[in-house]
Amino acid sequence: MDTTLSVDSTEHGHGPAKGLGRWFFTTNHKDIGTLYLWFSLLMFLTGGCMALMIRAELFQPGLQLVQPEFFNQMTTMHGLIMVFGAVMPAFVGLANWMIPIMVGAPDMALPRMNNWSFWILPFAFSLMLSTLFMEGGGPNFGWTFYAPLSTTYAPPSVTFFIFAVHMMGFSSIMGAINIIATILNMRAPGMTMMKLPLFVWTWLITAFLLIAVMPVLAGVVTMMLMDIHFGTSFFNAAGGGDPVLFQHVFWFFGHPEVYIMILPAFGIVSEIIPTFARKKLFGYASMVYATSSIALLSFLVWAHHMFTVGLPLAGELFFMYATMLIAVPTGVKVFNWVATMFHGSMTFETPMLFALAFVVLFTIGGFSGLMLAIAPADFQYHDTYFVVAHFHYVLVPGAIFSIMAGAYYWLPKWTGHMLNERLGKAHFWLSFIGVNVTFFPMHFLGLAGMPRRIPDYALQFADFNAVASVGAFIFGLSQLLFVYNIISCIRGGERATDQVWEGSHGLEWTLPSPAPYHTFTQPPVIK
Amino acid sequence: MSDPKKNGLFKAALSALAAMFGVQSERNRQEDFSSGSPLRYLLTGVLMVALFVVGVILLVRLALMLAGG
Amino acid sequence: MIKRVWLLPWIGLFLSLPAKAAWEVNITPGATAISREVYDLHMIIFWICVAIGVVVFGVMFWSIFHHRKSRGAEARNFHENTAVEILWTLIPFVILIAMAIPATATLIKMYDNTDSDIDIQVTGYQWKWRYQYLGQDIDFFSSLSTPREQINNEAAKGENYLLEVDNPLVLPVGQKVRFLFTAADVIHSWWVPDLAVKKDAIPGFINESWAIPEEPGIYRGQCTELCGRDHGFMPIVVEVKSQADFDLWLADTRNAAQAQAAAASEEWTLEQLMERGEQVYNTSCAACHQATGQGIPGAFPALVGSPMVTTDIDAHINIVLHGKAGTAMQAFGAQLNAVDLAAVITYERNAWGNDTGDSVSPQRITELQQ
Repeated sequence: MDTTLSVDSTEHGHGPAKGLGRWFFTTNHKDIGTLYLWFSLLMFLTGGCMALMIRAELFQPGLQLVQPEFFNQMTTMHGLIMVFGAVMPAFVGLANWMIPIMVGAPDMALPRMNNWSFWILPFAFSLMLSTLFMEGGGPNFGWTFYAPLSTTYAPPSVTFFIFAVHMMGFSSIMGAINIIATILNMRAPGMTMMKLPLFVWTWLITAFLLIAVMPVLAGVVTMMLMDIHFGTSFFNAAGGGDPVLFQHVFWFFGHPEVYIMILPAFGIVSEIIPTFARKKLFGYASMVYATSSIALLSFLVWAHHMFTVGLPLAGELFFMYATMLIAVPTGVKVFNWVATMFHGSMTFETPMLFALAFVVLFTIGGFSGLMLAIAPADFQYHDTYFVVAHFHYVLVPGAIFSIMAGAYYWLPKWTGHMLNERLGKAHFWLSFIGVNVTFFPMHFLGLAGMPRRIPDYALQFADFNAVASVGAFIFGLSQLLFVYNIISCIRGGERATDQVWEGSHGLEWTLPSPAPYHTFTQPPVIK
Repeated sequence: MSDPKKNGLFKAALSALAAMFGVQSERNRQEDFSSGSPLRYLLTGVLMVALFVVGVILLVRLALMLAGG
Repeated sequence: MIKRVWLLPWIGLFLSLPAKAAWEVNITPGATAISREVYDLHMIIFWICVAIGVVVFGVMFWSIFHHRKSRGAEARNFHENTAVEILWTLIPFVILIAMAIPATATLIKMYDNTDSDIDIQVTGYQWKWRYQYLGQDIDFFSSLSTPREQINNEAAKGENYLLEVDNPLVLPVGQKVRFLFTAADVIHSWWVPDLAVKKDAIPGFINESWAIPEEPGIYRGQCTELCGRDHGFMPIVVEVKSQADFDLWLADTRNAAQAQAAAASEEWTLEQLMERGEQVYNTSCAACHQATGQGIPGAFPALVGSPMVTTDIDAHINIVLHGKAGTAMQAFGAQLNAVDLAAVITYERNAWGNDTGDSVSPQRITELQQ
């Protein structure tokens, strides 16, 4: 790609403001991207500590460290924080940093709103975390907050939880609007939709999904609010309501949410694998088409999360068939990544290692997903540790490994320094081992009959639980290496070239490293 | 298929189908993306999804009928 | 001390090893025809996944090994092949469609709730199960019987730790049992892996499922839908008996119920009531109000020094019998017999230094309930 950069473009702009004000008032997409990423890292570590508390309690049978009511608060908060505080903001952070650069835009389309959509988040999460210190404790009904456990039987702090979810929704919707406006309107001349990097494509679809489902989430928590405080009975059977309605509405949000958390990951991996295989992505067209059809098809399978609520037989069959049919076209995208590696010329720097682990482990998560789609078999898997294993395989070595891969991939561009490869590889191998030691035995636990969300368990589950807890601490502690590596990469290190990686292609690699505060104030010319 | 508009609709439907199947060739993609308005593709896409739903419902009916339900 | 607490579960585990396959990695084929079908479906889809995995990961690792730059591999310039893509999409497609056929057949069988021999209504409560044998005049609650000391690591854990109850569900062998599931408060889910039955128990709704147990034996399961604090402590135990033993059990259970009714008209001393009340309190009340009567601040009120417990006896009886709407306090009038109710109220009014000296007689409860 041939681009002409206006070398003096930064001279006319002004640099970042001095002091803390820079971060509060910034409208710069790079600053906001950085804020999102730090915030998400902080939340990742917070949610991680909760996970470690859970795993410490589950290390052996009996109640040792925490009481069941606190255990339930930990599982709930861990889920909410990881989904809404760690994974989603991390993807938005990467989008903020990379999308304007990838499409040759000077900034996001709506920079002030961008600032607002970030700064809502710290308040939303402070509000949510503060519930842990309230009388009666924080939310204790699981991240899926099924009614009536989350309405009639909830602790008083549930109202704060509802408002926190509302605020996260505002933030996500504004972020999504901004991303769509940027992609559709701010592309440099010649950057047609056909040339968009796959990360941009997947984010475009993700943003539409966000706008479609966040209001559904807001709606369902508002109905809860009405039930709790204003005497309605949406979910209260005693008043003529329907507790199952809650689950339908929740999963109508929840299933597309799954794609929201994995599509940008597909995008990142589709950037990284071609770079380190030194070969173009296999089947770019198929990837784009499959991704865009997900925007609609992901709304048709929500009730496969509810096979045991007593759906009528026809409903059960519909959701089983639809799930199986939809799984194939999205699942086989793994083949495209493998075909990209086939007859490439591969090297294995840290980002590539994380991307390869993503492909393997996400596929394992896909397999267990396929098994869960078989409704009669799902009766034996549903709400057991098998499900816990399944979605952690999709989300931890899936979404989170892709975020780490992306962070390592673009860090040299952000900081101007190469990262410490040795440390990066150490982080990778410890994480890889930790993740598998933690989550693989959970398949066995679930199949052997251990339900999820229990603070104590029967003796035959003791061995694998102990193994999983050891793995969790390996994984958790190895993240300190990640933090150290990021900080030392910001502080210094070998200077990065503009192209950074030998095989990298795309607009972002034509910019100097570190990328100047203002980029593409003159649109690049793309041939 | 001499009528270009009719032809276009048919092509859009094929592309929507390709998207749902998850495979599309680079040549067809070039054609799709140079054909101007995306609106036609969006509409046919929604229509195809509706047809997909109807199709799965029919499949369920068939399965229940075969089982004598 | 800390060291010893740490050791206890391991000792318990060691003792239980001969009886249990502690490293169990797969689902059970179970004890019914349906559970075996489900097991077969599970194994088929599992091996399909393994086969696909071997191919995909095989190609991937082969590429990683051979097509690496350090081995001098040069990147080839192909990045599209629609025919190949269609092929590798179609193959899993066909496999899955083939898979859908047996899955559909099994599902249809599982949904055939007709022609049952026995109907049992299963009601989920926070945190116990109630079993009503419809038309048989049998109705009882089933709660965890593992002592609190084992859970708190103050005693060695028994073989069936957390998987044992006071009154198991008893079924006759070879009969079609239809379960009707509902709940009294929040959503629960009734799961016995050996019967391949898992169904949500939802307040205000009735779900159905069925099983024909083929072998006498004891089958254990747990609640699988998060239902609050003691979600992990409401197991299910199903005892399948031969028809003769089952009939015997039916008669015994009916006799026991009559004996209970007779006991309600006897005279009970304060000491007798206190002794019985402590047992009832520990199974029915201690989960929330705690064994110490201190409750959990903000969630469950303390009974120690509570004005209702120490003075207003009518309000105290009323709340135990009828519960408090909108809270976790259930109506125990339907769950416990008159003697147990009288005993537990007496116990609460005299334990932990409440020392009111009040004694509530079973007759008083019986009168109130009429």
